[in-house]
Amino acid sequence: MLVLTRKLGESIAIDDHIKIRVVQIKGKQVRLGIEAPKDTKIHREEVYMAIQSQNTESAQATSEAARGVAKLLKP
Amino acid sequence: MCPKVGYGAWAFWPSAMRGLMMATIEIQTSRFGVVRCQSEDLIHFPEGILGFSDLRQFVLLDDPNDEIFAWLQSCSVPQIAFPVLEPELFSQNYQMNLTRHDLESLDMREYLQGLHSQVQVATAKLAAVEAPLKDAANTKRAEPIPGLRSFSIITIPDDPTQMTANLKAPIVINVAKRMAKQIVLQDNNLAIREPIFQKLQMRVVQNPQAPIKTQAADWGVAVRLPSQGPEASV
Repeated sequence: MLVLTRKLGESIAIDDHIKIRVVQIKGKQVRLGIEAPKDTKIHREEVYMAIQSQNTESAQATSEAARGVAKLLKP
Repeated sequence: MCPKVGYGAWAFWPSAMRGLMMATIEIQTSRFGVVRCQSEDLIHFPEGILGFSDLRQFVLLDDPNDEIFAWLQSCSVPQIAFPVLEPELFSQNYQMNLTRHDLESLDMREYLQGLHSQVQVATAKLAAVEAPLKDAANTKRAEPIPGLRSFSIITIPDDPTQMTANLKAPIVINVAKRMAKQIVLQDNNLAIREPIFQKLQMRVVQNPQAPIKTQAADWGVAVRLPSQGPEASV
């Protein structure tokens, strides 16, 4: 992993079109400003982790449980 | 004579190749036993599914004993299958804003080219073609993109009334090319765990005759399992 040291207000550039700036430093929190083309997807890593755990949980379902849902839905 | 023989030999090979490519495949599954399908039924995930990046081939199965779900079954790990539903069944205003990169990774080249030429026609008088093209590929579209079908992965916990759908990262399938991807949408209002039981129940109450059954098989994306097929429980 490439590690760079930046001060408040300084930024790094990734490729030609992505810029990440340190906007605020407050205790243990750092606020980052990101400039990127509209097409670039930017997510907190937790989003991917949450999707992974949702996928893992989903794969535990049995066919019996799924078949049972229809009966539960009927009033 | 010689050219004719040559031609015959040439004509023979492609059909033999085609025969090989359309072979019947047996897929081991823990939920539905051995499933037989055609190689063209397979759905390819070049990047896998989040958390399951090693699994690249899946098949969508329609269980005739299930009145609701389809199953996205791994072709290599019998235990791995995800119950899925089309998001339209519980979220009427669901919109997927796919980026150009998303469409490229689903091999939607023809669509993107069509988009390009449409925009070129529309902006023929304008010098800047690239900017509107980008917008066209990025803007919200209420119309579904032809050739794509999307499904939400459903989590069914022990208490099924707590079941949820992943609206944030749908499985999007290019039906003709059998290419698919779990696409993480940028829209921050979409939930990874959207409760859906009450929404489905509402549908049933409002219109008891209308089934909530997935349309995946009718769309040609899913393989219908035989109703008396061998069964095994997980």
